[in-house]
This record gives sequence, C-alpha cells and structure tokens, in this order.
Amino acid sequence: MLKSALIAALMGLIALPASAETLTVQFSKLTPKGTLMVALYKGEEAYTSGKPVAGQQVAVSSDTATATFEVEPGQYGLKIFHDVNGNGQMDKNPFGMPVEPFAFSNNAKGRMGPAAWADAAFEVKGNTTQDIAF
Amino acid sequence: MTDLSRRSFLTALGGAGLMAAAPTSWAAAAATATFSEGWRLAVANAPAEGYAPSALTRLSGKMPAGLSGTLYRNGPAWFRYGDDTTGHWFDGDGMIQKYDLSADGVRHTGRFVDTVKRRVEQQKQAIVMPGFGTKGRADAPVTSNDDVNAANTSVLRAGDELWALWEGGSPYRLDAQTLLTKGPKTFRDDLKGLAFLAHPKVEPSGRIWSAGFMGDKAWIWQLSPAGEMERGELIQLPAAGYAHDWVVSERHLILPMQPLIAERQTPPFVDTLVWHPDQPIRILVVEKADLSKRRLYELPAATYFHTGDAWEDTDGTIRFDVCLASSPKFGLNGARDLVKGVYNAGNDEEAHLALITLRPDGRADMQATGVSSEFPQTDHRFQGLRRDRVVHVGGYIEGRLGAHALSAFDWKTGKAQTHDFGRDAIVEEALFVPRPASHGGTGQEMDGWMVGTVLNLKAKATELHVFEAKNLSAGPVGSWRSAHATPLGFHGTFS
Ligand SMILES: [Fe+2]
Repeated sequence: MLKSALIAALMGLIALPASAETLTVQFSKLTPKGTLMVALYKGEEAYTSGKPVAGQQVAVSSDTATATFEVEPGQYGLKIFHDVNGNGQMDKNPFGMPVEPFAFSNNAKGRMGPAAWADAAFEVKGNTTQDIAF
Repeated sequence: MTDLSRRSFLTALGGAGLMAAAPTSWAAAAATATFSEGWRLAVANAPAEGYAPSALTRLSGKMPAGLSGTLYRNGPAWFRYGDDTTGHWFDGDGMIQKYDLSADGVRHTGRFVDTVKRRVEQQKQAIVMPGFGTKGRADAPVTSNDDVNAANTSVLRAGDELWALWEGGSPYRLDAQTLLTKGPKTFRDDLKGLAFLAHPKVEPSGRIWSAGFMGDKAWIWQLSPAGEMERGELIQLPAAGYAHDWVVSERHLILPMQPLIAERQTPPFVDTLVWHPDQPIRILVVEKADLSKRRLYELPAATYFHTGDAWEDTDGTIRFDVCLASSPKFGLNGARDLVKGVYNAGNDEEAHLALITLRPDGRADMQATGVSSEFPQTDHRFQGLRRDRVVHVGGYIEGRLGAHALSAFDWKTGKAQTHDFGRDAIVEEALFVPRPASHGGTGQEMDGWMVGTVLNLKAKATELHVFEAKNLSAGPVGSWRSAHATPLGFHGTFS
C-alpha cells in the first residue's frame, strides 16, 4: 500500500497544494546510502487510504537528510521508507515482512503495520518542523 | 493492576472454556501467588541484572575424568511487573544459564538476552509486546518479528557465537563467554527477521538445518557449521499446522504437521490455533538434495512438542521418536495459567514416547510405548543415523507440575531405565556429552554422560547432575547445588 501510494505520488498524479507554509522534515540515524521515499498525507482519510498529497525522493549520503514541502495549513501525516539498496521497492522477506527501515511522522510506531493516524497526525500552522529518527 | 492487565486477566479467565473448569479460588490464588514458594519458583522472575558468577556446592560424587565444558541453557525467566503478568509461560524473557564444568566442580552465571521486547518492557515496567500467548498493548511498538522475539527457547553454538533461539524470529547472537547480546542474526538483507526454529538439527558433519513457519509455508535454512547461510528455500506445507520441532535424517527433512492449525492472524498466536482431532498428522518428507521431491504420510490426530531424531533403514524406511500427547490443552491453556500462579492438573497433558515409521510404499505406523516422556535427547554423533537409545524426562505425578525422573528407552531391546528424583524435584532436559578418546571413549552410541539440571523445590535451588549415559538407574555419579533456584528452562547445548 505504501509503495503504490508513493509511486502514485512520485508520478505526479497528485495535484500540488495551492499555498504555502513550509514543512521541513529532518531525518536522522540513517544508514548513509540509498533513497528515502517520503509520502505526505493531508487528513485522516487520505492517510488511511494511502492517497498522498505530495511525495519526495531524498538521496541519502550521510546519517541525516531533509525534505521540505510547501503546503496549506492543516492536519498531516507522513509515511517514509528507506530504500537502502536503491531498487525502488520496499523489500520484503519471503514471509512478506518489510526488511527495509520505515517510519512515520511524530516517530509513531505501528503494530505490525502502519502507525495509526491518531499517533502520526501533526498540524502544519506556520512554518513547521518534523524530526524523524530511524 | 492496570485497567489493561485486569481486562486481559479477566478475558483469559473467561475465554477458551476456562471459566467452566476454573475453581473460583483461582482468582484468589493468582492474587496472592507467592512466586518464591513451591512450584511457582518455576515461573518466578529471575534477578533483572542476572546471576553473578558463583560456584555450586558439591552434594555427592565427583566430576568424571574427561568431562569438562559448558552447559548453556535457555528459558523464560521474567514474567511479570507487579500484577501485570505475561499471557503465557512461553512469553517470558529469555535468560541464558551458563554452567562451566571442570575437575574443580561447577560454576554458574546467568544473563537475560537483551532483546527489543525486554528493553521496551523494562523501560515501561509493564508487559507491552504481543507474543505466543500474550495479546500485548494496542500501542506496542512492533515493526518486525524481532521486536517481539523473546529469544527464550534454546541455544545453538555457531562458530564463536552462542545463538539464543525463539521460533518466530531471528536467532539472537550472544558472546559465548560474557553472554552479552550482540543483536539478531541476519543471514542476508532480504531475509531479515525470518523465523528460525528453536530446534535446528546439526549433522555429524556440522552442517545446520533449521526451518521457519508461516501459515502453510516453511522456509528451510541450510547453514554451514559456522552458521553462515548455504541455502534457503520456501516450501509449501500440506496444512498450516503448528510445529515446534521437526526431524532430519541423513537424506530427508521430515515435517510432522499436527492438526493444530493456525486459522487467523491476530495475536496472541496461540488463540489462532484450532485443534482438529478429526484430522490426521500430515507428515511431509522432502529430500535434502532437492526440496521439490516430496512425499506425504498421514497418521491419526495427535499433538507433540518434541521429537528425538530420525534415521533411515537401507530400504528407505524412515523412523523417528516423538513425544505424543492426545490433546494440546497444556500449550493452549495450562501454560497460560502457570504464569498467573495457577497449576490446574486438568489442563496438563502427559506425552508418551512413540516411534513413527514411514515406509517407502506410503504406509505410516506408530509404535506407542506408554512411557511418559518429554525433552527427548540422543547421542548427537548419530544425528540422522541408525541408533537405539533415547533419553528423556518423565515420571509425572498427578497434580504436580513437571517431570520427576530422568529415563532412557532402548528401541532395540524395549528396555527402559529410570532415576527418580522424587516429588519435590522438577527435572529439566539432560544432554549427552561423549566420553573423549583420551579418557577411553569408544565412540559407541551413548558412551559418555548425561548432564542435566533439576529444580529442587524443597531446597529452593537448582541442581546439576551427571550420569553415566548408559546407566541412569545407578543414579548420578556427581551432583552439585546452585545458590539459586533458576526458573525452569527449556533447552540447552553443551560445548
Ligand atoms: Fe522445544
């Protein structure tokens, strides 16, 4: 689900937001290689159903990285996975369990799946920063 | 008691038909259970910081000349924070006990495996993670199987490392000397977190076979003696039957899938298992050399935790020993009650030693002995090869937890031997240690010693006993007593 949402986002299927607060997402504790796949969702419905409002790929060359989004004020959530081997996929083991790191806004943790909206939701109101540690 | 734990406690008592069987005194028993008394020592919390090195006190006999090395044992050893109790005996945090045997006697030390699960729960001082029989909190931070890995079932020496094994996630790597945890073993990046049985089988060549189960699929691990991956393959199983153990012969992998079938995916795992007494044990046999070459056998419903070992006759007939029970109620119910301080004999189920024979023409049969039996062990130098003897615990007493005797059975002669430790002892697994050639070892089957531990409830202490492996009836040739009563463990290795 995460993967298809990201691909949809990255293919430009999602309209850019009209206006303009800056959301800065700072990532830390990264393995310095590969690419971060960052998907931003506006509102619970979009987050839960996997329809991002924006998506970014961020090349990783040190243990930190940054992504910025220009967005309207509102409630947002982030789903991120680290494509460590750069094959464009969130790799899974033969039993279907993810083997590449993933994270959510607010550093929320899922329970054998994506973090719940209630835990991952944050407000963008003025310029906003999210710090996400892997 | 928090609201959450109270709720899961009541749910557990109300669920799975327990309410019907539960005396009303249970709740009171659980509320007042003193885990430093009686059988409850078996499921008491061990010291969080581990056991400092100490010498055991010699009770009788002496260390046989030629016997030296280390007995490592693993088992669940942390079950509760105040009244907040784990949902199942099998969900306690793994702790390694290390017994060093030398001419000077026996020294002991012990340390918890430093798992993600244990870190999270120690930090919160609460049961948080889901498990085999634990529902876990809704906000449990779980991103992979290894986040809930209790590393509490067995140990394997692989190269310089000691691996603490569970069955639903990776082996946890430990330093074999300090017992300090290094982290989960990843065999290959794309296999991270894949299940690895607590019952790997080690060929006489040193090659290691293990498996991981997920529904009706199994991943087969073939490892070098040093624990590096040689091969891995996914195979299809005849049913999503629960398997805690399996058998490996010289040329085949044998997977007995009992009709205890996982039918859902929501934790706890044990609640997804449904017992189908009308369905057979389906025994899948695959060739080591080509996992696509498979045969299927069926035998009437029975349940098991442990097998002995397998061998093949010259005509291709496969035989293996197994401890069979007629109902899985101990694993499903009895083992959940224990950690609450409740032993209900009605939810215990004795297993008996049997020999299963799988013939080349597709017929399967089962020879029952009627001998009470668990934790079967063989002379590992004959792994996968023709042999006669199996050593096991037994001597169950109605109304008392655990085994009280160490016994041996000879398939060739049909003769049994036993040493009874008495009703105040709970006998743990004993392992075979060969007599070295330097001390007259012949290399014949069972020429050596059995080394095992016993929880002495009267003395409130764990003991280590050494037997001549071929002469259990003569009693221990050397016995030592620890300063500690360590919680009951499951499996070990000697190196
Ligand atoms: Fe076991």
